[in-house]
Amino acid sequence: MSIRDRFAEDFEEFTIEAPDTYAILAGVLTLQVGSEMAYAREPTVIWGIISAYVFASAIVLIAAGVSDVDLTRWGTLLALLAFSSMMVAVTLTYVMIHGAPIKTDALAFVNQAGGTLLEGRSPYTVEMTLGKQWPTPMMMGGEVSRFSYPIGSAFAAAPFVAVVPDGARVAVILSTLILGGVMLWYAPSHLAPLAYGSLLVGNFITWGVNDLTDPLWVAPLAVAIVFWPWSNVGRDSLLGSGVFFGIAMAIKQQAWFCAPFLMLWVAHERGWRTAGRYVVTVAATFILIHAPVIAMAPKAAVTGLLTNLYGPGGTLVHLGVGLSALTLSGALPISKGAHTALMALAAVGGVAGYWYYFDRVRWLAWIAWGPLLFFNYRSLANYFVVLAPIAVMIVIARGERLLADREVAYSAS
Amino acid sequence: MVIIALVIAASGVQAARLPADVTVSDVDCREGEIVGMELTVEYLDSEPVVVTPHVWGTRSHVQLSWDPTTIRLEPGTNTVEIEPPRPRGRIKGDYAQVYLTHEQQRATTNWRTESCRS
Repeated sequence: MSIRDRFAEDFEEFTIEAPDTYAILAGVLTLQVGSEMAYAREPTVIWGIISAYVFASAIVLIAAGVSDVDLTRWGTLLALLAFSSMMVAVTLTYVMIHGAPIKTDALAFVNQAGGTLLEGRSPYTVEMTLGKQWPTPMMMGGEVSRFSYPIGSAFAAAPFVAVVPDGARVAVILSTLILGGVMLWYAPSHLAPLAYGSLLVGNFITWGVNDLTDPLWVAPLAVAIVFWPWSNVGRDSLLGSGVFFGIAMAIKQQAWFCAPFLMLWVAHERGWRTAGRYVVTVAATFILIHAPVIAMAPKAAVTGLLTNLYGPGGTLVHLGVGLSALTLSGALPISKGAHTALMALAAVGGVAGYWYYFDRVRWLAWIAWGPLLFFNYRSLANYFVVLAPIAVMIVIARGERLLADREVAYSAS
Repeated sequence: MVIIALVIAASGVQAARLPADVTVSDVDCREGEIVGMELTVEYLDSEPVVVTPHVWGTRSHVQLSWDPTTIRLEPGTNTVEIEPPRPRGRIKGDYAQVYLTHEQQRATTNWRTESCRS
């Protein structure tokens, strides 16, 4: 029995239902991303076919949303068709730009670090020389030239760097594919268009060719949510969730902010001993991934990992769309120290509030970096854009339980 | 907590203020791009300070430090000339910003690049 049949009374009251809205939204976002990609058109048959495919999928989604198509039955198929159209377009774009210099220092450093690992050296000990179109300037002059990310990103890129010079782009595209696959696999049909649509926010789905790295850590984070024991999808495994969360932490520092809240969640539900085991699982995964570079040059590895937090190599310039936008725009400059203090205050208040209001806010643990990094002196837009797919992943993880609750309520009435 | 946050923010604003007024007094244009500029800096403190200039614009978002990266400001009026470290730093577009930094302090000026549009 479909959801529409189960809750027929409620559905009669609405002319546009949530699944229709999700499909329309997904179609609208496909139009937006497709329009931007249209500017990169090429006089080739395959580009023409891909363009038509992308826009056709947008029109189909919108048409399904405004008509009587049962999205509780066809939502997943329509979302899959649209997702595949975008991934083919992204892959084709990669083929077109293949080998071109990576523009951002973030992805360029990951690419170079992957190559350095293949040479048997620690990326934390070498000078990074790529990514000069979008470098990261420092307050005292010059630009960041040391690898300052967890080593997991380099390990993810290395197999592809061994094959193509810009292998890190391939790693990001594959991570995007995995993330979309996970979301669409576990999303119920009526949520599938929303799941796909969340990947279009901020052009996230194109980041493999726009030289951003975030899909590398967002994909394992989504898998960690699937394994989370309080998720109503997937296989409940605190161990599995801990491993994948450890992988996410080993790829990018943003995931670190989730750790204390997730630990509190486990402690709240299963006690401090289990929470301790969870922390050990996450930490062990993190350390295992970093073991090779720690063995090669331990001090350089620690410095590299913590550079973004306390900047031993020098303070970076303010940048971002959070509170730091006041400084960036010249409206109201705030010192880096005050930003750090505000973020610490938000963290302390956040942890206390999380424990006290646990039942109402527990799922916020999976997006903890968002509210905290808003106060950081570096609060880049991509930090917050990635909230979209994770937030929808949370909805997916919670969704079936909500429907089950509703079913129980209907049964009782 | 809100009061603590406001106190931190207020002290952060105070800590970020470099006692200087910066004005772009002249620009060097080439084919619609700013390839150099002259700054007039009124430095209001009594002790000299060494600052680093950063420039970015509407279509050149990266806040590159321009050369020379160390400028000594004396109390009173200072005239300095700066230029981008490489072609990537040339300023295009309608708006631009120059800011001078000394540790956590900065003095900022935003201006319209009307005089340099081709």
